[in-house]
Amino acid sequence: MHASLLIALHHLRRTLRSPGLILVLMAIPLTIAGIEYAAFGRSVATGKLPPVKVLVMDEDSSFASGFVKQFLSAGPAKDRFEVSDAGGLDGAREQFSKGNASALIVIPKGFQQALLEGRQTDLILYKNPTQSIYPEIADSVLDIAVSVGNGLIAQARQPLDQLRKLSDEGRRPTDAEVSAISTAAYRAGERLAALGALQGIAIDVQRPSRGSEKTTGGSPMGAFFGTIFPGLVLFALLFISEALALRLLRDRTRGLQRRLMMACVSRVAIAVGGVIYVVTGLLAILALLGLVGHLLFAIEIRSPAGLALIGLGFALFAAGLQMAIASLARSERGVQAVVGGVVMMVSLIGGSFVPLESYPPFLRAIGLLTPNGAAQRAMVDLIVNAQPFAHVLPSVATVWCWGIVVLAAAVILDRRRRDA
Amino acid sequence: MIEVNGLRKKFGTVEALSGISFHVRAGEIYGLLGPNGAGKSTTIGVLCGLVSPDAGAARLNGIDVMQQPVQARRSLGVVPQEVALYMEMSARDNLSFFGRLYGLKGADLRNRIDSVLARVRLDDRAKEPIERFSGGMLRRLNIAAGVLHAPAVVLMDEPTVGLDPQTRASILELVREIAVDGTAVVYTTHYLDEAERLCHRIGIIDHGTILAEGTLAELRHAAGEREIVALRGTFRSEAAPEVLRNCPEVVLIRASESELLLALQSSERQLSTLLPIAGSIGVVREVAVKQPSLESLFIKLTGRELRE
Ligand SMILES: Nc1ncnc2c1ncn2[C@@H]1O[C@H](COP(=O)(O)OP(=O)(O)O)[C@@H](O)[C@H]1O
Ligand SMILES: [Mg+2]
Repeated sequence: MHASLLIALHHLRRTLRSPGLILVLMAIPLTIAGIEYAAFGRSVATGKLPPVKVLVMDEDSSFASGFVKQFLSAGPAKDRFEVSDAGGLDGAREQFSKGNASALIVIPKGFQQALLEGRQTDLILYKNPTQSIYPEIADSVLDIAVSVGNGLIAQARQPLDQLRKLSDEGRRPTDAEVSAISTAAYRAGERLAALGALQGIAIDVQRPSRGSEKTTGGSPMGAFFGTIFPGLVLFALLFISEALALRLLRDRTRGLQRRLMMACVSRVAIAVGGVIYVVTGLLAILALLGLVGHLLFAIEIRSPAGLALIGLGFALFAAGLQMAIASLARSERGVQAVVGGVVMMVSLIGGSFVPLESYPPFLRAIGLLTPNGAAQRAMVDLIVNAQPFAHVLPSVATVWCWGIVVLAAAVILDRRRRDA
Repeated sequence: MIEVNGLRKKFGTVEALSGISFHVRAGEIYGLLGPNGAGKSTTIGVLCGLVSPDAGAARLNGIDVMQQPVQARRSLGVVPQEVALYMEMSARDNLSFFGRLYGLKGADLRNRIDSVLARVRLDDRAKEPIERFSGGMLRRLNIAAGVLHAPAVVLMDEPTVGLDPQTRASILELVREIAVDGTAVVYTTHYLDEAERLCHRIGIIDHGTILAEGTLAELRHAAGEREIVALRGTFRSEAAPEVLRNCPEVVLIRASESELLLALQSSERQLSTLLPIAGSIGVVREVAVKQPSLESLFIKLTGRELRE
């Protein structure tokens, strides 16, 4: 045990010495929370929000760009976006200055061609500068938009493949093909919207008013943030756990893990030290973010012990997840790719960006079974709804179950890797 | 101090170790000399518990490395082949961490860090992050981290690979000092001259087997090695094999316009007959008798030369 603590402390000290990525990642929940407040905070009281007005400038005029527009106005999304044509950059500028639009999405020329060829491509997002949003914040929005866009491409594989075939054959599509592709694109948009990926941009704002009769005390602003902040923090913790675990992974490739194994400590002590490091690191960051949330967003930290217990269960899960993926993946890159995918998926399903209340019932049920969904629910219930700890016990148990199961799986996988 | 008996290890179809045995006493530097892929690192790996052998046993300080791995490693210091240090930390913090792993603390730990830093001549750079260190400095710190806790047994896996001659010399000196304190050292290398200069006893290893073992003198004797004589001057080299045919105890290694390289049983006895013969095919201006080296023995045993 002594050796494990020594090793954990050593890793923590190293992290403090070069925190790098972790500081950046810590800013994510703060930034997104800031954006959400800037966008919706003031209309929270009424619980109703006009749709976000988005201008689209289509320089490509292709199937794919039409697909993007269709996506923005398909299915449930059309309640949240009000899409209109920009009428050129000047038109957009005018709309911006009049406050008639919040953002401009430019679909650049060559967009479809790039998609078809599998090249990277960018949708350009301009935020309305008069709506007082800092450049960093705009950056974060763009990041999320890209995640959503990538999900979109994955969903739209089929219509894209059809398009590529057409363009390879170099002939005009028949009417039947046009309608088939368009329908597939529309369906893809629907599917994605149903998954909640679109809501991942955090446009939905009905949530705070919903529990409002239960909300006890606290400022409306604190309640607003109390509702959205936990999910964002849990999302950030997943990414931060990756940054922490990455250090251990690099130790493995740089012979440092071998050197530890040659010292007079057992392998179990080394592995336990790694877990303690990730878990305590995450708890410290959780505490720090909680403090910042309290100071900056007026979130009332009710029952800190309960929150810590939830945080510990979640940190065990995150540490286990990282360890498991690190034992399975062959390279650092592989680990990053897998972790990124898993974190994004878990966060979308678990409702890190959008509260589960706004999900369709069966998705909500699934979301509550995810570790972050359960942790978030329990945290919000404690902070905003001022529920007693007994009330959140089922959610806490779910989080801890995940933590223990995933960590156990990681230990087994790790042992198997070392024996091989 | 170190007892290795009949180690075998297969990686898939590759037999990395096929029955390695050797013993090292306290204060002795034992050289494992062999080309790349001979099985040196695998042997070290077994001794420090990273590789579990298919057969055989190894004891460090009387403790079996397979049965009580953690206790066995308590008296062990390892200097791994690659530099394995925490780059974001200072030299002192690196050493402090490794020292604590072995249970050192307080003033004892501080004193040992001071003395080992002085020994590897890094005492003036102790506090800065080692990211800024040169390759040679990192190597020296790598060694310091392995010997800080004054282990009874030190294993060094090719600690001088890729270093300039000056740094190499200083590291060899460091190894000698470590052994003088009574530490048993296993030093692997594929440099013949290092084995010759440094090691009290040498095991020549190839294909996972120790082909010959002994002190430098013993190994030379075992090979029946001759002395090497170089005659320098101007020669009709093409005539050399012909005129030397009458001297059966002399072997011509190489002949050129300016040098005849010969192996003799005894230079004292044979030089007097050799010089007139050489004079018959040219002019001798200089005679150099070379110390016999391990090289010919090595070639004889392994059928290959030691190259990087
Ligand atoms: N982990 C491993 N997996 C497979 N083969 C290995 C492994 N380690 C060593 N070998 C093989 O075993 C042989 C001995 O390697 P090694 O002990 O590293 O040699 P040396 O250190 O003398 O250069 C080589 O053929 C090498 O390829
Ligand atoms: Mg080696």
